[in-house]
Amino acid sequence: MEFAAVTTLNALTLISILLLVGLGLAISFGLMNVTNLAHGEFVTIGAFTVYFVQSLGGSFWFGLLAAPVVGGLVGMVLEYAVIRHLYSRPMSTILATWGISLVLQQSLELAFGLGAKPVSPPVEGTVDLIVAVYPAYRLILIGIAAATLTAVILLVNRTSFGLDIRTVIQNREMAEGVGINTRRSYAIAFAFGAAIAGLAGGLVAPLAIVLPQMGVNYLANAFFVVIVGGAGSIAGLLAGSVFVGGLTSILNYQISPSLAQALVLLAAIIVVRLRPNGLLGGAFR
Amino acid sequence: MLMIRGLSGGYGALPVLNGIDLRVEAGEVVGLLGRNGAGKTTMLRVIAGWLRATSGSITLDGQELIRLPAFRRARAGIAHVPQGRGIFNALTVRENLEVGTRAASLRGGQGIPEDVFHYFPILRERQGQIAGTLSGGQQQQLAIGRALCGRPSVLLLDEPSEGIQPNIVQSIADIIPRIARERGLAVVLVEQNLDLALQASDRCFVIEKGKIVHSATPAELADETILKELLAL
Repeated sequence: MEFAAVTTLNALTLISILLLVGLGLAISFGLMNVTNLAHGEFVTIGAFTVYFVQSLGGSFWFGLLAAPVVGGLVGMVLEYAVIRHLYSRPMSTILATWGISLVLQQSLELAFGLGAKPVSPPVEGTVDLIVAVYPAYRLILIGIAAATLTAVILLVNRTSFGLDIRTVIQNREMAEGVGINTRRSYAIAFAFGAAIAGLAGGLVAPLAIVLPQMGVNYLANAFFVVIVGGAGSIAGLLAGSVFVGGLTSILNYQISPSLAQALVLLAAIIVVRLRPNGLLGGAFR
Repeated sequence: MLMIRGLSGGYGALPVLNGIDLRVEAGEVVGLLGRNGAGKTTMLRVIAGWLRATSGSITLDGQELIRLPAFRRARAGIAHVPQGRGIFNALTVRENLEVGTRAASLRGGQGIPEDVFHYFPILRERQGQIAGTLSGGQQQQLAIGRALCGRPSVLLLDEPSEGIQPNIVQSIADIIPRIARERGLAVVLVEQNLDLALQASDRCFVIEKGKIVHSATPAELADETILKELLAL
């Protein structure tokens, strides 16, 4: 019983992180057709932001607020300087963003030096959930992820900005035709995805090894999530996160993490072979 | 008043329009006729800013639009109902109309104008329905209604009768001139269905190879021999 509960909670922690990282990727890759290989670096930047704030004596919570702001700003600059020129050239985007990813990693290494950066969680200790005892911070992380997802769903479905975004995604030309500045909508959507990835990085920082190269792992998993779940909908994103996060957590108990990762990749390939549009692909379109 | 002078442009290195001159007054419907490939659709797309003009001028009540991107032209008052209607299929009818008001937002236009439902009562009934599930005729009404939500002064209509049932074609032929009159809209209508075009238009122009080669009243064009000669049917 306790084993099952802990595994479930571990899976939920991982699913939460994947969901937040995948959300940004679902926006850029799934909706805007931009293959951003520097997306993982937004996670890294979020984690380093929290580390930097803590190293100056600031609180974790302030760092966590700053993480999406810094991530979003870097995303905005990246979109303005590079991505917007390449919307019609997918292959160039892959190459350019890969280069940017390397530059960002090296810049962080130059600025902060080699070696893992310590980030301490805002709360220590555990919570007794009757069926299991679980670290308090992880429960907070799951809660923040769930709240963020809810906020994003409300933003997309209930606000006039969300309506603009849904319009632009469906038919960019016609969206221009009704008076929407689609270039601006794209820029905001991209920066927004980067901000959410930054938040994910900040959240995961106390649990992960904070290194300039940490983003790479999240990037690969986030692509699994978006492709397996089906690009283009939040329901698909949720399905993909549960699939990848759940499977990884269960396998991690039985076998070594690298083998687990390989098996998850294999499972992802099988899913995509059977359902080319993902688990819930086409549900929205 | 929409004023077009010496307009050329089209698809990149392949110009389709070769110096179009056209003037459309508020409250007037102008029909554009011509064979396939004559440049009718291209002309509407260049006016709306979806395709680039290589030279010429497009002014709306004196304001030059030729350098503006499409969304700014929409905000200036040019509404475009393209071929295929351009409905946002995954949005509801109401959301489509709401998005249509974006063009008017800077000119102080708030909300969906009430007369949209007056012209197209079906849209009020179907507000919550997903637009992609409407019939072709209903989608066409939605597309025109959405255009009106932007409180435009120019309405560009491309093949409104395409793929819709005959009784709706008739109601669209009735409503286009009515909307133009009541809202003081300058309407440019491109239409393959000659009956509709002649019935709805105040003046007609024949386009050939990207140039306006003839102008006539619908009454003159009702004479089949003239029409055949002009359109080389």
